[in-house]
This record gives sequence, C-alpha cells and structure tokens, in this order.
Amino acid sequence: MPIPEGVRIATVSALTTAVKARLEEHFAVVWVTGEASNVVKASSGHVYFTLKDSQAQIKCVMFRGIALRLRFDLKDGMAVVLRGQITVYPPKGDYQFIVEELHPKGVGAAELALRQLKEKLFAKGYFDPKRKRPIPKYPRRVALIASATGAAIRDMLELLAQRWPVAQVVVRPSRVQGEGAAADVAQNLRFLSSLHEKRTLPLCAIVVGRGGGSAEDLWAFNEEIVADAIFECAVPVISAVGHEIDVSVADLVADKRAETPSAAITLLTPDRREMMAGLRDIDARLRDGCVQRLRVARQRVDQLADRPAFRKPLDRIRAAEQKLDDLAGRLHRTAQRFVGNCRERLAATAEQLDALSPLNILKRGYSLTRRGDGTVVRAVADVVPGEVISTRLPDGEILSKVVSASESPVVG
Amino acid sequence: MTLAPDTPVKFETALAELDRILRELEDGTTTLEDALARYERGVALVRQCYGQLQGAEQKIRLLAGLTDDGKPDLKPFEHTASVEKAKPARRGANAEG
Repeated sequence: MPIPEGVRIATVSALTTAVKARLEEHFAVVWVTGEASNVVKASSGHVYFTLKDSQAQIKCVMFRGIALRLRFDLKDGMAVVLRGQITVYPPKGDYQFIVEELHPKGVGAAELALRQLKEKLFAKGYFDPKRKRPIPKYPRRVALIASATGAAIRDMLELLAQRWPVAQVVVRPSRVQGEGAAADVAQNLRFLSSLHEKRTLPLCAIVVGRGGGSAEDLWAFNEEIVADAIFECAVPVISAVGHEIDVSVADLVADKRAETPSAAITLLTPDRREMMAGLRDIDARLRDGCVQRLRVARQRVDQLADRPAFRKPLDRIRAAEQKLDDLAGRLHRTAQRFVGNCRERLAATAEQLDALSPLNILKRGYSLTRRGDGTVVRAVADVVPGEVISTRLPDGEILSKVVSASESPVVG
Repeated sequence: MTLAPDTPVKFETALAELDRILRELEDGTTTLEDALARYERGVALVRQCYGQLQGAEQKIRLLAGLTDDGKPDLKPFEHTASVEKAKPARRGANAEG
C-alpha cells in the first residue's frame, strides 16, 4: 500500500515533541492520589517511583530540590497525594508525572518524619532497654544542661538544695528550643561526655532539662543529632524535656526519662532528710541489738548465780558480772559519742542500759499476757474460753476475756 | 575502726556494711564482745554518714568552657535577676551553696 499523496510525515522526535506540548498544556497543574511503589533514590538525588491504584499506574519523578526538602522518606506502599504536572520523557517515549509537592495521606509530614526516625533509631538499637545505664544512687557530681534563665534550672536547683546538697552541681547553659537548639544540646552533651572521659570532670549523671511548652518547641529533642549525642554519651543521661503527652526521641534514647525537670531531680537523688531518718533508725536498731545481747547475757549470769552448785566459784561469776558492766559502759560511751540531734536520745537510752527493764521490750511493741493466777500465757493451750486474762503494756494493763483459743500453724 | 569525721565516706559502701552489721547483730550468733565491736563500728559509720548529710552545702558551678590549659573552666553560678524576682526569699540561701 502506497503512502497517500500530500500527507505530512513527522519524525519520532517531532511527534513526541508535539505530544509533550499537548500533555503539558492540558495537565499543567494536577493533583493525584495513589500508592507509591518501586521507589528508587538515584545517586543524582532524584527520586523515581510508580504511583498506582488497582487498575493503573503512572511513572513519577521527584527532582532533587523537592526530594531534599521532604522531611520524611518516601517508602514503598505509602499512600500519598501529589501535586505536579504531566510530561513526556522523549528518550523513552514514556509519559511521566513531575512531582512538585508530596504529602503523606492521612498523617502530617512532621509526624511521619518523627515516626520514621523512631523506626530507624529503634533498628539501630538506640532504645534497647538492655543498654540503659543505672543512675548512681548517691550522686557526687551531676551536670544540668538547660537554659540558664528558665524555670527548669530554677526548679532543679531548688530541689537539689532541698534533697541532695551533698552533690556538686555543674550547670551548662544551652539553648533548648528554637533555631539551633538541637545542635547546641548535642554539642553540650558531647562536651560534658569528653570531660568525663578525660577524668577532668567526672560526672554521675547529666540531666537535660526544659520547662513545659508546645509540641513544636519540643522539636530539638526529636532530632537525630541529639539522639546520637545521648546514645554516645559516656555518662548516664536523664531526659526531662517537659512534655507529658509526646514522648520525644531524646526521652526514648535517654537512660531515664522524667516528665518534668523536678521529677528528674527526684529520680536522680535520694532525700537527705529521709536518709537521716533512716540512719537514726539504723542507730536505734544497732543499740537494740546490743541491749538485747546484754540482757540475755546478764540473765544467764543471774541464773548461774542462783544455782547453789555454781555459788562456789563465786569469783568467776563476779568476773562475768564485771565484764558485763564494762561492756555496758562501752556501749554507753559509744552511744554518747554520736553527733547531732541523735545525741540526747541516745544518751537517754544508754542510761537505761543498766536497768534493762522489761518495759523497754514492751515499748518495742511486745506485750506480756498473764492468767488470773499470775502465770504467763505462753501458748494457746494455757487458756480456756471465758477466762479473764490481763495484758501488760508499757503504759498500763488491758483486761480481756478469751472468746476462743485455737492453735494455728506457725508461719515462716 | 574509728574514722575521722570529715573523711568522705561512700554512702553505698557504708550502708551496705551497716546492713551486714545489723543482720549479724540481730540474729544474735556473735559473741558479746563481737556484738559490741560491731556496734561501735556501726555507730562510727552512722555518725560519719549523718555528719556528711547534715553538714552538706551544695556547690553550684557554671561550666563556661575550657581554660587555656584544657581544664574545665568552672565559675560560681549566679542566678539571673528574673529568677531572684520570682522567689526572693529562698533563692539567696540556696544559690550561695
């Protein structure tokens, strides 16, 4: 079949150019939605992918400038909304979509970026509970990274003064929100970590603190450079960035997370007053233990002295008695040497040592129960229901009637 | 056995030792002499820890950077005026440290 006369025969290039011009004219601004697949990041920085739904697909390209501005990574399977234009790529004869805007569908770009960073750091083991370091229980020196003028530093210093003045506090001022905050926080963490490693400023813990604020203000603590600095820090880090609702990346990487700067200090330090009360209690237990031993020993000596058979070597018993008196004196003197507001209490108790009254034992919560004839009740079988018994307490006596008496298995 | 009152004692070790002493003392298996010796040791430890807690005065330092010879440059830390205004009564006492 001959070619008809007079037809205009175009070259491939000419035709393609014509098609391209038409398409570009008609599809200059297009919004389209679909699922991204076959996402490829080329070394040029351009991103190529296919946008598809169940029946069709379009080749898409996102040039480097646009791709770099994207806060999150485009991934296969992601539902997206695109704005762009249709064009033709002449060398292949493909028509394709040039992406000018790319939005994740159903979720904000910032949120998606954060989610992706969390996934990435999780995969790198940054959040692994096994690598969380314990915070020393009685810290000697702690560092605070915070704004030098904010409420966070004031709250932390106040609480430290109240709870744990034992520790030296090193304040390292830092921007914690706004432009450059992430870089500043990261740099300060690395600086403190390096001083610790060189042993020129050994630290027990670092608190990164910030007062409350909006989720946007929190952004510095969601940046990868901060996460890296916490992860690589040679000192345990407590993150206290003051946002109860959103858990920041810094919170997840830190060895401990506190909801507020004050909470961080509570978590980091023991309470001095509680510890002092605990020490007074230990002191009382030490004394009670000793008093008890002395009492038992003295009873033994008394019993021995009562037996006629032992009366003979009386000097041995006298010697034993004297030794007990010496030990009681030692206890008394040791107790008296204790400082502070314990002193009077201790001395008063030490004076009672010689008496070793059973009332002292009653004061510790024990009681003594007797029957009507004065015999001591030592077992359930000693009493019968209906019987009246009397219980001796340090400040008086209780009379009671036995309702029932049954043996129970001994616990422990 | 007797320690100078101003020797800084490690609370961790002191409290662990006190715990051990208490257990030995309270289970009553030691001799009377040992019990007294443990008691004296215990009281010395308690006294030391207590003294340190009672006498503690916080040191607050501002880490300004590094000195010329590469040491941490620690300066006294002063609270800013805005903080002073917020809590005038309590601040002064705490910040002196």
